[in-house]
Amino acid sequence: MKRFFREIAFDIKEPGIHMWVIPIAAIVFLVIAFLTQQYSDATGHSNQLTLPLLEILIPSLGGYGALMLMQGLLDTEGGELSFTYQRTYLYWGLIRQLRFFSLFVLFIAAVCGALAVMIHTDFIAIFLLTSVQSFAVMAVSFLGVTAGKKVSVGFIVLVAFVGIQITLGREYQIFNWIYAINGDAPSYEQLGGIAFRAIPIGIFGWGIGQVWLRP
Amino acid sequence: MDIVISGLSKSFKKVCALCEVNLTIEPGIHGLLGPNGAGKTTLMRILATILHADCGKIRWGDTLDWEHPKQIKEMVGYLPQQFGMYRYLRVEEALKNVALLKNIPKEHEKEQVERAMERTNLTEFAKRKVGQISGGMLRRLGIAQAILGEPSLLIMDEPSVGLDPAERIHFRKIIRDYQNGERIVLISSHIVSDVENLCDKVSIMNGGKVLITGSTPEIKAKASHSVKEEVMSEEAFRDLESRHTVINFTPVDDGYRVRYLVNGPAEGTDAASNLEDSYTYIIQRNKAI
Repeated sequence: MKRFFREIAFDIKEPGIHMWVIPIAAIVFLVIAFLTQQYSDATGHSNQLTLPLLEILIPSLGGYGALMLMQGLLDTEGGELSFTYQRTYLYWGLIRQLRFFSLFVLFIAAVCGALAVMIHTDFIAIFLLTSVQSFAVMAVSFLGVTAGKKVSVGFIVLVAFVGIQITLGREYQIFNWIYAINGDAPSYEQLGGIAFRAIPIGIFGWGIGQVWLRP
Repeated sequence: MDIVISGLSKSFKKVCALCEVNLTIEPGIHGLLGPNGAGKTTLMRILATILHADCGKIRWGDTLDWEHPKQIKEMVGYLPQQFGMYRYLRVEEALKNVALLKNIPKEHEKEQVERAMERTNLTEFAKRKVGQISGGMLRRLGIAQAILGEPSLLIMDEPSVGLDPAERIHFRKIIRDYQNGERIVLISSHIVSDVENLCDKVSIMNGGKVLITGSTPEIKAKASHSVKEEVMSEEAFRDLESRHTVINFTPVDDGYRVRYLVNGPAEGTDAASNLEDSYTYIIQRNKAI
């Protein structure tokens, strides 16, 4: 068990400053959310900004973390060296990714917990929503980086996947698979619909990404 | 135990990087020489379990087979041509991470990491971030991670690239000390003098094939009657260049001291051949075929 936690610690430390982006961005987001809520309370307007921002930001940060986890392996001089150590392809791909995802879910719980208190919303609904969205976005990012063998390719795939849904998806529902983006916590029915699409996308992304994971 | 490679082939799209390679690697330091694209790196990557061969067999003694890479990974240390990993970790942290990945038991980890740093003169830089160390130190870190866990097969692809002369001498000492008579150290290099000074046996590769394998003195002797060395004017040097393969030349007071290869009997003073002469001779002969 100790070995397991040491491995996670190294996974997180190895990308250095790139992993710090995740908590720093989350703190900035929470500050903005707090100020926005204060403004809404003071003016009596409803806060329609914070939840869409949560949906866009947190899964994207998860996708960024999934990319950074693969940087040392696929996009660094001599990264192929890792494949000579006593670990399987499954370890370098799915095991590390899902381990990071589990940790990221705890991070999502912390952010959503703080947000639920701040903006007086349903914690369970926003936590489940952000978790399933992160599941899909991280898997698609993983697929991008393993297909392109470069973090930049994974990043383009991440931005395209999120960007298309956020921009076109509001107008044309056919382009929106995993986002609610309506300013309020989703109903459980809406959440079920999103999970119904996000989970297969995640399984597909991680599955194919794992198959493509080669030095 | 010897590593026996038989009929090993590997192609990338339609390019044959290794064509039916047969080679026996005995305990000791074995050098691979060859021009770019000879197949050295492909062979090393297959031995390091990074690539799978298209066909052929590699066996190590009676029990180990590259068909079962899990067992092989436990025995292999590898230094790739480029090593730039762990730039945000400290030197010691990076090696601890490698120790973890190599399944070195926790109770031996500290001792093994310290030993690897000591051997590569990195102890005083243990707390320095990998991204802040010099190219030479980074290369030494690469060597340290490769020897961590005392693997029985050490594979090093162009290990002395980026090392200054003093570091190259130190590198040779590390490898000499590491090879204790039972281990196999496989080195590829463009720097022929490194191979000549370090390796017990040498294989010369070209076009995905092993052209020749032998002890370093045997290979050195291959060009023994074909090397001439003379001092000549610049004009004579230009003329000679058009007729023979010049291996080396150095400016002297009255022209150039030229070392060159001849085919068959020729005028000029015979010179004792070194590995570079034999390497050039063998590659040239292979091209002529």
